Amino acid sequence: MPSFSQNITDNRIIIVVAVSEGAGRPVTNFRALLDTGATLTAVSPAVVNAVGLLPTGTMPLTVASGTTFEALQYSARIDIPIEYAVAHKPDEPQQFLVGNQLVVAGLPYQPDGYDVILGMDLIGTFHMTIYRNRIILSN
Amino acid sequence: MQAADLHPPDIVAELEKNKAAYDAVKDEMEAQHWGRVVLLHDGAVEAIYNDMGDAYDIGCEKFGLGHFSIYRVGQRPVEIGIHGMFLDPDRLNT
Repeated sequence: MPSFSQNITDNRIIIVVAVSEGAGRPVTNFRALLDTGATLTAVSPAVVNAVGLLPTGTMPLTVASGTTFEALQYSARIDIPIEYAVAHKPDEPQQFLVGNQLVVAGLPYQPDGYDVILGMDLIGTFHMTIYRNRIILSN
Repeated sequence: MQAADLHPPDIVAELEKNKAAYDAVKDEMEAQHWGRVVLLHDGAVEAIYNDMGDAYDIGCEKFGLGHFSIYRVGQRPVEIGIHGMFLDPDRLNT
């Protein structure tokens, strides 16, 4: 079963994710913040541009102040390439924690230090353990 | 960051037409098709599906990505967590 662990730094869980338009399409890797307070995954303008995502509508989005806005909506596939956290031999096939095709919100700003907010729609599909400042993720 | 900053004018125009069309029938949809997914193209409702993935796949096949919109009927506002608390409301509007 694919699995990886890494240290938590600055009290934020930031991992590498592979984003594409869909299964079998070219992937681009981005840094992602795991946010259990987010119900949905969201991507920055940099992800939209790099992957070539096109909007599939809009969705109402609520920020912590309680105000609701219309944000762009996209469909994107997000997987977690574990080669970035676990050393493996060059001749071994690349491994992923299998993600999913998701409806994601387009962030209207560029966050500092990451490009994707991983919400509970994806986090909830993994087995996640946080223990002594380390995170362990597996399918 | 608005839609026009990220996408070509024809994509933005399609998005705006479909949004206006959905807003016009939103109450009727919520009364009759709560939880289902509406596929729109060129400012008109094309079909209603039970699954978001089906609507997306058929939209891509029939019209091409960027030339259709899909809306889940009765979609509640989505929380994006504490990291969205500093968003500028004016920059969120599409």
